[in-house]
Amino acid sequence: MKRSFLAAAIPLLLCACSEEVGKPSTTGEPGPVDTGLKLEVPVPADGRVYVSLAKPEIVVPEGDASMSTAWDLAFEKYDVFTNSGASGDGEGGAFGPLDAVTYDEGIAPTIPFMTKDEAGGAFRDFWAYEPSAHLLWVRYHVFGVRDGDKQWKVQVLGYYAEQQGAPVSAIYRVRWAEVTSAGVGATQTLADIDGTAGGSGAPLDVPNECLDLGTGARTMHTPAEALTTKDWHLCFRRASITVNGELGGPRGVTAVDLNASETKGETLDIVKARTDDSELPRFDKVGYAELSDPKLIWRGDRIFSAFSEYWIDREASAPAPAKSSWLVQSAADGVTRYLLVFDSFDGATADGPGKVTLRVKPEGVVTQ
Amino acid sequence: MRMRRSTSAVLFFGASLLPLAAARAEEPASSGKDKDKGAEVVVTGTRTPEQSQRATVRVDVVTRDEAERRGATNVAEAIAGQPGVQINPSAYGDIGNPSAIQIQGLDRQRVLILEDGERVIGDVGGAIDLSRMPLSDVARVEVVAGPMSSLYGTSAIGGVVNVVTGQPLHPGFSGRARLEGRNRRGVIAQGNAAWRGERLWATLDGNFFRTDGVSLVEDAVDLAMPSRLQGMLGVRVGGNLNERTRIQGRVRWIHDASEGRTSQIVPGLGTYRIDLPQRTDRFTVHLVELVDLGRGRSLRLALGQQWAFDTTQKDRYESPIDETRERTATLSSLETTATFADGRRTWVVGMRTEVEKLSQSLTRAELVSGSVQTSTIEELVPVTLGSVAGYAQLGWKLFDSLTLLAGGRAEMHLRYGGVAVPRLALSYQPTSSVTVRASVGRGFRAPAAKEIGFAFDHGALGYRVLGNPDLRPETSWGTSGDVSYRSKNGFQVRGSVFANWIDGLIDIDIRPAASQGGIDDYTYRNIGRARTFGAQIDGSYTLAGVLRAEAGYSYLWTRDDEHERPLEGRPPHTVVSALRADLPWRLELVARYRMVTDAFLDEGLRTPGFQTIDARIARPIFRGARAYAGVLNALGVQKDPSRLGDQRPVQGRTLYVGLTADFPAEEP
Repeated sequence: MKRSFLAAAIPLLLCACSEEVGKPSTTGEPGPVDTGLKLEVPVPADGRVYVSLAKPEIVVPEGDASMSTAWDLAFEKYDVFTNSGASGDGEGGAFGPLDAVTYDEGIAPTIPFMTKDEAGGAFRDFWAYEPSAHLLWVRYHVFGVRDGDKQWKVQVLGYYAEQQGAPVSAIYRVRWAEVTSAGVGATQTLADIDGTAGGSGAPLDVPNECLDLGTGARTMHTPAEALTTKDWHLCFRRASITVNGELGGPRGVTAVDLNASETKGETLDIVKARTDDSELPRFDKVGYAELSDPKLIWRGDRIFSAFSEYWIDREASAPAPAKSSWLVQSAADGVTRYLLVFDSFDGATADGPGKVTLRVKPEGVVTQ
Repeated sequence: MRMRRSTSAVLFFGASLLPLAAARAEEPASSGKDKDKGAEVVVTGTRTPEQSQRATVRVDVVTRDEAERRGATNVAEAIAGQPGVQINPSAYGDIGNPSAIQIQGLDRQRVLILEDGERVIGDVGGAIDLSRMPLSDVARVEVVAGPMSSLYGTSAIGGVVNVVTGQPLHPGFSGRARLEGRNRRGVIAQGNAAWRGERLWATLDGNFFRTDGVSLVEDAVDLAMPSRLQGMLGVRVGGNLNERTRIQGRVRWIHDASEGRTSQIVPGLGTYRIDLPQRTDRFTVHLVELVDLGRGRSLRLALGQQWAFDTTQKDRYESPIDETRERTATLSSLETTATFADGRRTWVVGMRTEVEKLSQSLTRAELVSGSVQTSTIEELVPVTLGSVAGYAQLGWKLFDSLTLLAGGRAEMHLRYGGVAVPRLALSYQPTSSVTVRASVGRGFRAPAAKEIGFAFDHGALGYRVLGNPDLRPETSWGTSGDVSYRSKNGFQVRGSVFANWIDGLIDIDIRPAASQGGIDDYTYRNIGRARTFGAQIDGSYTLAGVLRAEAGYSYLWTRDDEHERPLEGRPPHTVVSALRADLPWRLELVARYRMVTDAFLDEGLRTPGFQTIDARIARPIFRGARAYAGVLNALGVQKDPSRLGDQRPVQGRTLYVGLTADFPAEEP
């Protein structure tokens, strides 16, 4: 009988009996030691330079670069793109920024997804998502919007309105005011900007409402029309707000999220506690001086990647790369992953970083 | 006799009008007396009748009498206290708190639920809600742990639950009724009316249940558990066509309706009330022909047809902006099983073919440019899943004390091709009081229709979840062993261990399968691996037929090898115990205790452990009638809605009082 019980218990003795999370500890040998391979990338004043991380090397894709899987990263002025999403048909993408020491350790932490490149602008993070209820909570950030010599401060107050006894999404409430060196103009408010665009299942050619901050004029445009018209500053379409500049439209409008640095630390609970009244002081305190901060990067809509706005050290007196690392996925196979750090910029100007020096190695290789 | 007949006629007539008034006398005969548990006949483990104590595969049985002693009104409540089984509805709060079962750390589509051997459809998020299966026509519930796909096919990875109906034993008219009242305005009425002639028999079964919803937050409109109304009406018939041929038929309609309620806090607008009505209707038709071919050979032909219709709504209070989701499932099956007894060898050979059809649509009333427009999308494009399976099993009594069981099953699916699963089991009885069993086998789970063809469109928020037609079945290896000892003086103890390795677990891949126009598409893939290990020891002692004590302890270890952490919501330690005593004045007391330890949910998050105590006292009040009163969850342990992932019971303390009546009454 005792033997029977012992035999029956063998499977249990073979397994660990704790509820630990993560990889089991190992006493095996550490992985190979490697500081990575260095690559110098001269970023031109105009156009893009493409990099493959396998060797690494600079490559020139044949034909349409967006359809090529020969490159993993592309540099254009101060933008870095991955071969994924809106930038390319590759299986690439990146995740970061990670601590710089992650590169030395050679092992990236478990990550939920790779960030694919996507179109967006200053307003791309104006909401926080509550997954359990599928709700969008506005962060009440204040945005600067600039059109030539005119500039405004804009605060998004709400994304929902009640109609027929039910909340309807993509009905925007905003307040804005012109900001000049002489002071701040009168605050204007709109509570019924229609960004529904026919609902979630509607086709792409259903128009949405756009707003001219200077005149207060409201127009309806399809996305295609918005790309070619200059009678608007901001367009509201479902959960997105676009800016009429760069990829967003022809007017040359630029914008900036004045509270972008807060986004990373904003939990959903913090955002949910905010109201129109509690965030009025945030709006009121923005004046000419705040919009004139030289560290602000005013841009139209463009392509965002995991590197955008993170790979530059904003605190440095001269343009320099941030002391962080990134995990980059191979565009060719979507499986191989590389760790990457930027060491320096050489010959950086306001328009571009000059020569970028980076180091790269496959994930799983330790630096001593 | 004349009096009896007129009474039964009234009962029969009443039952045909109202399920509440139905009555029944079923196999096993209802009696408060102790039964010899070792004499129970089970079929689920091998598809052949065996005494449970000597069965080649361990089968746990809960009879209807035992279920009622536990205060149970449905299958979920009947087996919730079994050692090695977890039924914690709060663990499935995201899909509406169904009473899904967990065996050997596996649940949802990885545990197969059968009714008289026929797979039950109409799942909720992959889980069959056992609380939707009333006990009215149930004779017993058999639970087999471990992979059983070699006999039953898909989903039999963690185990099989087989709900078995019976047939009337008493000649002539007979019946049974149960009427019970509970707090929260709960009413339960169950009954059967039966007739048995020399060659034919028939029963009419009915069930009615209603209860108020449960709110856990004072002054909130939200209901943690909806108000509920259940009804069941069934007819079973059977008879001997000739000396060698018997037929049985069962037709059943189960209706389940609930009225849930929630609220939505909309940014900048306030709180909105949303009513959540739900309605499910399931119809089953089951025909079986049994042919005795002589010399230990028999043939069983089974024809099954099920329809399940489910409608859930999001009905915004005082607003036309609503959502209605409708799901339809049908299952048609034909199964032939032949049994050949050849001396010490018993062969079971069978073939099964089934066709399952599923569809799901979502109708939305939305505001478009200020006017209400209704649109319907097919979330699950009507899909047909078909399979043909063949299986064979050899039970070989190598010696009087040693039985070998070897079997296997091959299935061919329209969607993903073939799958084959073997199984080997040994049973050794060195003495009449000791049984040693061991088994090893494979299990599999076919991809669900939702995983193949689902389309959950949240394009407005930048993502969609799409089905993947290229999914393969999940597969597992499982092994188990148990030793039981049964003394002549009423003492019994059992110890068991098990281990499962599951590959190709189907889950949503968090890496987008594609991105287009700013919308990421996610899909299901065979990406997971998991292991479960466990041990259990339980025992019972019966003293002179007046006192029975039971206790069991179960240990469970799980590992999600894909995410390198335990599986969510699997309590590692469970203790159950029960005491049944015949007291003076013909009182019968039953007390049950269950302790479940805390369980992993996420890194830094565990669901709290809890303890429950149930008690019931019953007494005959006149011939054939017993009155009873009891309490479920006497400690009143209850879910804390502010605690993330709390899996303690939503229902608090439940008090009940009721009456059962059997006709004809059994001799005291």
